[in-house]
Amino acid sequence: MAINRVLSQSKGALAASQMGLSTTSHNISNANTKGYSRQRVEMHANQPVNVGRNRVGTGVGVGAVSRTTSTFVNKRIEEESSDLGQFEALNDVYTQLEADLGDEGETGISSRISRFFNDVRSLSTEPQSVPLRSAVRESANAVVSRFHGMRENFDAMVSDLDRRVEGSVIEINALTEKIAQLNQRIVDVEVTSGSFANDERDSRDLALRELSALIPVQVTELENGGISVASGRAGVLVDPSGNYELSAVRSPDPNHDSSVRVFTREHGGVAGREVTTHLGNGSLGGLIKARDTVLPKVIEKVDTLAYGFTNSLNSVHRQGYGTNNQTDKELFSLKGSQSVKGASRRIELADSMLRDLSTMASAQSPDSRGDNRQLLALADLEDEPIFDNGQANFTNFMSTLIGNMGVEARSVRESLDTQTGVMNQLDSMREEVAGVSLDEEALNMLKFQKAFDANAKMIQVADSMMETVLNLKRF
Amino acid sequence: MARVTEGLLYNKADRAMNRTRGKMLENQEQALTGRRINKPSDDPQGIVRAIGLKTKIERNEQALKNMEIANSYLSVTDSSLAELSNLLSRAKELAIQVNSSSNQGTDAMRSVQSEVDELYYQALQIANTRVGEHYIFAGYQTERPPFDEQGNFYGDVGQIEIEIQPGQRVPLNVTGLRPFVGLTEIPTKINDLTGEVETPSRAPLAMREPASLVAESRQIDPIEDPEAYAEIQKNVGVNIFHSLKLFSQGLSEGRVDLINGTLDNIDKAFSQVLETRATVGALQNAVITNTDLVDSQQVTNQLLQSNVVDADTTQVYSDLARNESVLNATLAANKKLLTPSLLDFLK
Repeated sequence: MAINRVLSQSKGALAASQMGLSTTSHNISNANTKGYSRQRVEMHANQPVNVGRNRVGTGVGVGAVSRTTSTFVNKRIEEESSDLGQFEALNDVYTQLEADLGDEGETGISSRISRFFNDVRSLSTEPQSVPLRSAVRESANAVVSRFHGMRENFDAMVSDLDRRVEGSVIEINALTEKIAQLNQRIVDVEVTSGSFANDERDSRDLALRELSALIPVQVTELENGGISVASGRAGVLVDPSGNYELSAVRSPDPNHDSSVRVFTREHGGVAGREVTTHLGNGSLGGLIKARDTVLPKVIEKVDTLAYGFTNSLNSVHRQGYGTNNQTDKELFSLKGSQSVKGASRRIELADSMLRDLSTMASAQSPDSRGDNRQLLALADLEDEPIFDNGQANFTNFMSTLIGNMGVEARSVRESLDTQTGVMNQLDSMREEVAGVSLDEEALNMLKFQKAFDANAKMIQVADSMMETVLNLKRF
Repeated sequence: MARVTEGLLYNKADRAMNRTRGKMLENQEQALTGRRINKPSDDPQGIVRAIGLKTKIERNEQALKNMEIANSYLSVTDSSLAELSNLLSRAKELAIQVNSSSNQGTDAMRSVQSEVDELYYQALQIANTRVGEHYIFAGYQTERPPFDEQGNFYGDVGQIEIEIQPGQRVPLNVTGLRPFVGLTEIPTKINDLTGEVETPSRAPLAMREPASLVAESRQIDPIEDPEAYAEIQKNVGVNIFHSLKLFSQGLSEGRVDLINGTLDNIDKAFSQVLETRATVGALQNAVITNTDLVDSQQVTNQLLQSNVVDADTTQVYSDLARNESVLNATLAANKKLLTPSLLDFLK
């Protein structure tokens, strides 16, 4: 009965238009949702039937609601995110280092050291002058406090990096757990109902992207829609059975430079192992590289400077006589051990210098208050190339350190800029495919609305045809 | 054809505005600080040079301050020695006057003697000249008067040097030993009992006949070792205080030999004072020449520093203006591009 078929076809078409409209509405609602891929309703013509010798169509069928996305672009985004994450982490550290070492104003260590030497020269014109002696002590103290300040900043940066490493590990675990849960739901939905778990897949892609910013990942798609995620030497993070957590452990060994280390958790009889230095790119790897490579290099230089400063000045100062005729006194002291390591933290003014200004050695012979030869010898140390195997004096040494740091900071920033450009490009590519276009959706809205209207009209027509048929007998 | 979505447009607009604002931030930083280099990575080579130049400039400033101090010491030294010269002239006049005077009456002698005694104390005052708290003729022993009432020397031959250029120094003082005592070094003595060499730098030099003093203290016999004796003799002048005392003694006792000897002594004293003044003059010259040199270096260094560090203001402001107009254009374009949508027309 053809009229009935028209009615049922139109009913199906109404439903299809409604589904189209609701998908359009879903798209418009999620136009600004991060990681959302636009969806569309796949419609197809139903299997026709044979009427006499002809095949007559049976209307529209709704296939699936699928998302439009590019796996290739998503994969590239995952790869590039890791590089971006690393450069971002390194750039943070260099920005802080530049602020700390930006030795241009009056506060930098090299200008404080040269201030100290100039105050010594000033004292050399009047070796017994108490105000000038106290000026030398003040400028010496300014050097010491700058060393301490730098050291405190470095220590604060290290412990900040430690906290961020811990935070990153927590974040990684949360993300892998989320991916494992989404895996489960996607498999459930797609295997049991046969439809696509579009929104779950979007969420999983987004989580993968966030994860790959922290740590580089290798993703394998499984047939049932699940994925397994591995990360180089850190091994499997997610597989069909769930996620494998990393752990951040505060090292109990106080001599270990990096106090927070990263381990894999023990599972399936396989013991956890340390992966701190094998994390590759990603912001976690960047943080660790900053903490274990970039900062120690700078700290070691500053320690060397503090150590060289203390020892070279002391060895000259010891030979001289103060205005109180005392000799063999120190100007600075390294509290605790005499090692280079940590010298910038332990450098202090010598106790005798704090107690009594007349201990400051100015003379080469006792009982000569106008003798300034030891002060001249002290001031001459400014030109003494005591660093880098007799290559650099204090100023050269520090300016080389700052210059090198500047070069590195610039190259990291340039890499970051390039990488940001790459990511922007990839984001645009993703947006071209998966982004929601409101104009397009408005057109779809019109399209589905018109189709809905037309199908409703169809039902009206069929209805009136049916009425006509039913009224045939009354004539 | 690629799809153009709202997300794409908004992202592009966002990035374009950010980029321009980032550039403007850089311009703003340069405009506010007046510096081209605000962090090491702005110009790593530049900052290395800037630190080197800054150190050099500060060190030169210190050298200029030191040279100013040296100059004032040396000026005072020179004018003291000039006064001493005048004093010696007067003493010579008096000696000649007494010598040639036909009536060597006791009254006239006495008035001359009182003037000579006055000259003695003036000379002592000159010898104990101070700059601030420092006795300038005392060598390193600057904190106490180098000469006592008897004219004994308590100072040493220490030269207080200052740096006038990296690695270059000049002394800012001359010891009073040469002009006032006529010696160039503190004589060493051999202790008769122990046979050890003593340097009596802190012991007063005894008032003795100057010519014999050194030879005697070194126990050099002019007959046995005439060369060494001659060498020492060459460096020996006269003790001005001693000469004036002998003059005064000669006047009070009427001894012509002493008064005659005074003329000789004063001539010798003149030449040793003159010699010291020449040294002081040379030092002053060195200081002044170097002051000029360092001054001109400062100008060059500051120019170099400015080239390295300072922002080119014109450049900065024109960049800022350009970026501002870029930003305005971006904002205007965004306003046009982002508003219209098909939805606006479906009414």
